[in-house]
Amino acid sequence: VLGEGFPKVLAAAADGDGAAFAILWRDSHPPLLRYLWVAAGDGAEDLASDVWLDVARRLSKFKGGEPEFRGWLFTLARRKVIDKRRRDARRPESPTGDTEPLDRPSSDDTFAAVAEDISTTEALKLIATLPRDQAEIIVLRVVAGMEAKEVARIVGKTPGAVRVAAYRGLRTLSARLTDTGSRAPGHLGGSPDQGGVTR
Amino acid sequence: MTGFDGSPAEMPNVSGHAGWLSPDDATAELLLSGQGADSVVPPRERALALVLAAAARPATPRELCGEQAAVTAFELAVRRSRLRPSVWTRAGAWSVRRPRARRVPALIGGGVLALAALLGGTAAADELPAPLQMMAHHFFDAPAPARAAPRPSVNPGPATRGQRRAGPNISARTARPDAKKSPKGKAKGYAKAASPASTPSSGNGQGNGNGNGSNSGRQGRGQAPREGPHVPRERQETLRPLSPVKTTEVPSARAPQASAPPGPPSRSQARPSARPGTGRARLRR
Repeated sequence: VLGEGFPKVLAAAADGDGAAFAILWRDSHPPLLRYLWVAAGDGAEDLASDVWLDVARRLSKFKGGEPEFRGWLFTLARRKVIDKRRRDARRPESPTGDTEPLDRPSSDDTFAAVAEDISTTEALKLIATLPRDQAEIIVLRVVAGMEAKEVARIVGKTPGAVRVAAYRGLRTLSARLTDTGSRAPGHLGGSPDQGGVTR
Repeated sequence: MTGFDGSPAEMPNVSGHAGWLSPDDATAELLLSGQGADSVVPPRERALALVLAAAARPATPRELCGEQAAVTAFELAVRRSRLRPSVWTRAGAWSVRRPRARRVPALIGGGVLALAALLGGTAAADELPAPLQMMAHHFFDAPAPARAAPRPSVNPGPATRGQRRAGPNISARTARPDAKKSPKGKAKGYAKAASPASTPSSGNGQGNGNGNGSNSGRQGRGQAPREGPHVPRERQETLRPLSPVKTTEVPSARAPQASAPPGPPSRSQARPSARPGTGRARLRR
């Protein structure tokens, strides 16, 4: 988050300053990429490039502060995701029989991996197992740091609906982690007497 | 307290499932706002807090490896947008193409309107070629086309019985509705023949006194050609000759009709008529 320096950086970037744009990019690209990874899976980096290209084209016309810029950025990203889903629906890819051995599930269990080493990627994988709207909302709130109102504007729901979806998603995650913890006792810092996930 | 009395968040252990409705709304809001790593989160939600904190970790080098490419693309996009500001962006593309897209139909529509006005004016002035003028006459109230037949320079054949007034039916052939301008009270028969109702008639042989208007000279009294234009019955009655007149064919009367020389003014030619045959017929009578 750039804070008070954001207007200057934005104005310089709108004038075509590459260094100012690099500041914006470094600040906003990681959460954008994580959101796209959860919302669209493979191809997140391609979508992120498209989003930044749109930003570069339209930045001179943008007006607003940092929250508005983030909202605009993630709105563009969400539209790209929707377009990708439509494209994928029009041209579905069905795997042939030759790839079946490659598609076998690995021995790694996502929850077990999270329990062992909670990396960013594993955490995002875990969030991506949620229903799509819940996963999107949780990422926008946790990773992008947005309030419920801003998220509601992006996803086209009311703030109340956004809160409900986020709470449901968190409860689902908590339940899965609890189940994982009960299968792998001693992980995630919980202890039976503390009422942790290994309970 | 039964299981239905309070809110579900107040009864975490009713179902016997450890994770049921956990975390509660307040804890969930704390987790979503990024404060999950703090100790304010209940211990049983610590795992969830760790997962969310891991998802919100600072950027990794792998995530930032595309910075240079992004900046290059940005500079290229800015350069292009400065070169062609209205074509580069989508909104700008609309701003360029829309006026052009609007201009073409407007030009086509204007051209069509101008052409229609030109044709309409020409049709109203009765200056179109005959087929087009006839079409215009059918489509709107443009005047009917004048018969394009050549003006008869040769007098018709000899007067036959029942043809009261011999002579070419010039007025009937070439007369147009404005032929009514001929002075009233003079040459009544011709005035009738020149009326608009019989305008296109070419010797319609309806006994209206111009039965010799055709070169064939076959029209007799009361014989209307079948292909001729329709003339109402009452009109036919009015155009019928007043009384049959026996005329004597004078061979010499034919010869001068070929060149239609203006004969000496006779009493019958005192009528303001340009039909030389008329005077002769009266003379014969």
